[in-house]
Amino acid sequence: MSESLQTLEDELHALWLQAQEGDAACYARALTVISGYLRRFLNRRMQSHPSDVEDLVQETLLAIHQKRHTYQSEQPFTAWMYAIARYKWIDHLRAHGRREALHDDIDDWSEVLSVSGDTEAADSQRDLGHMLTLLPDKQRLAIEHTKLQGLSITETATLTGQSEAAVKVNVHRGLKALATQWRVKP
Amino acid sequence: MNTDELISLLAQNAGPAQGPAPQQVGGRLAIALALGGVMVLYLGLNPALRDFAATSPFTLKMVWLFAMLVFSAVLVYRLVHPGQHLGSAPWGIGLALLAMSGQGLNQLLEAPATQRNALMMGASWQVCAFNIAFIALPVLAALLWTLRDMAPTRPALTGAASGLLAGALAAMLYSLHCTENSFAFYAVWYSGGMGLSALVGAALGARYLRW
Repeated sequence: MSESLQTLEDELHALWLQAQEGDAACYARALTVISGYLRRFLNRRMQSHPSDVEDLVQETLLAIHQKRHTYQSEQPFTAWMYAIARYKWIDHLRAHGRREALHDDIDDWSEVLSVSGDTEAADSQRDLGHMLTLLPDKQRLAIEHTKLQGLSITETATLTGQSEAAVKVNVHRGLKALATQWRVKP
Repeated sequence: MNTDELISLLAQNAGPAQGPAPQQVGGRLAIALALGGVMVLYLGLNPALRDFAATSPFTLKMVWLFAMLVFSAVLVYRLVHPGQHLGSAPWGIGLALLAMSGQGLNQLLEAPATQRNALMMGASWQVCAFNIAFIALPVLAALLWTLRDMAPTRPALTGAASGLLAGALAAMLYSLHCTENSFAFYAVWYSGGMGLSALVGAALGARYLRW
């Protein structure tokens, strides 16, 4: 045991035993010393997530408080505290690891996904407009009214003079024709 | 809440904490063992139990199971107190298993080749390990339930040790039903039952012994 650890052990062990007698000042002092130790312990190990350190310090402090009946006064206090800190750290990594594995940060893909939105929309507009002109009129009108302007089947039927069934059939055939053209076009 | 506020809040509760209450733990274990007892009664007691219990295979088996029980209990106790060394408990478990395997092997080697299979398989090898593991389940559940209130820093290992402990208790109960009397059988199928229970314990421990 190094000298500093021995000092820490002596200090904490004495404080802890007094705290267990019900001395609130000693308990506050002990917990403060412990929190400093935990902060150093976790700072070293969680350099990639420094923002989680203080949360985990508090969680570990709470665990130390709730599980204090598992400390046996003849054992080194620092060994007990270290085992709990290590458990809480590993448990955090596990829980975090599971979340991280499911989480695909969209920022990582920004270069792949970055097409200027306006250009893309304009391109598709032009393309679609062109492709629609290749369709027979009744199919083109049926699609323009229902899919582009968002009218209902009934409204489209009234506007174009087709029956409702015909509108549905024309939309269906038109979309199929568009899909075929889309595949043929480079 | 910042850490200083948390500390002053916790400091107001200075003083010793209560662990799991002994009566409550005892109650849970008693119920679990009673359930195991009902399962054994359902299987049926060995009708010749009075005479059989006086034979040396039975006595030696019970001593062996008791040793497994004690070592695994010590192991569990150390595992749920953070910062404790495991000490000699794992060695004890290993030695006990080795001793029974040695006895079994010795018995097999001394027996005529035609009887070896019967010695190892007995009449109940298909069900023995599963029965033991099954009887162990309620005890295992009671143990894990209690250990959540302690501080197991190695959850899977703690679960496995609890499974072994539950398995040893279950094997002792199962001995009231079982009529096998060869060490080779005990070494394979009783150990198998306890091992199965330990595996279940490890799986449950990894999942439920978090705090």
